Amino acid sequence: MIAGANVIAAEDGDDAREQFATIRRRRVRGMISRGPSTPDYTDEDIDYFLTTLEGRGIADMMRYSAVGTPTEVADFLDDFAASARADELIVAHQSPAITDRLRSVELTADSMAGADV
Amino acid sequence: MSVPLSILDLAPIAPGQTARDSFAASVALAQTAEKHGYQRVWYAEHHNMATIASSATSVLVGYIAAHTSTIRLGSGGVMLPNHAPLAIAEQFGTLETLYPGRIDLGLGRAPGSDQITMRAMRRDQASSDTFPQDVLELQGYLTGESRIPGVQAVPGAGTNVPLYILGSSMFGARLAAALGLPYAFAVALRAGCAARGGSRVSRRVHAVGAAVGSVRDRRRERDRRRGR
Repeated sequence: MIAGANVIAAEDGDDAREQFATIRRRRVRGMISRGPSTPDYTDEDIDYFLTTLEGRGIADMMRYSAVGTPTEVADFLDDFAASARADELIVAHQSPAITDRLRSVELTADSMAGADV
Repeated sequence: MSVPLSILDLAPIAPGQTARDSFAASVALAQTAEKHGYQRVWYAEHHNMATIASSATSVLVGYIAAHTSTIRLGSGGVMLPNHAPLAIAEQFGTLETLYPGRIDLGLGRAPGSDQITMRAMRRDQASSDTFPQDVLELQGYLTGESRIPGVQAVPGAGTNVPLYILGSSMFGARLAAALGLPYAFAVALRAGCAARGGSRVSRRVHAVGAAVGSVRDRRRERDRRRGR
């Protein structure tokens, strides 16, 4: 069984968490858009929406993600794999920028392989 | 020894960027993944979404395969209700023929999208109802033992592209088990669904994991008793 998880790994944990906040806002904006007539929601609008009952579901869904330093990410993924009894993990690296995403790919692999990252 | 890792590439089109930019990023991602020991990269199928470039999944898989060497590539997943099983067998039979031993076919049941997109795909709400039979028909084409007399996939017949059932529920897990196929469980990855809380998600993960595990254990026990 292959289990899926979201990942954002970065050398700096706060950087990873900031990337996560950005992609979450982008994801929410995409979900609540209704085409060209949708009003321009500010980041504050989106952040507020995530605290409402309706938005909290989306917020929680994306919280099921491994976000942080390579060690934090590897710890999460190891626990997740064990509890899901997964033979393999398929991870979606969610960093908004491609450079950060590629770094996340590298850091996660190295950390899971036991390297000191 | 940690669990093997694979990648799901959502092929996002970032604000201010184009689909072409997304494809360039996907190439870089697959090449990096290959260099760092990931098993496979899968691409989803999403229609009519301005923020996602992977709508023609088999075409994208072919493009990425041509820019990589060894990493497995596949669909995560082809939404089978959107397609004729024969057409998918032909597409993935072509991929397997061009890139032997590297192609996976992950299959999902949700036609996804809204009514207008579904109709533009020439599908309707009932299209998902025949998912199990459609998987079997597709499997017949790829194994070369077609379930439709007089119809075969060319290329496709005998390519035996590995199939995976994708889902986020017990239904999918049970179907995979019934078909003897591996299950890719992605509740934590689903966008646009109204999850009602992280703890409920984690309970579902545990439940599916336990169910899949117990089916797999029973099957292994049965195989062991049969001397396989």
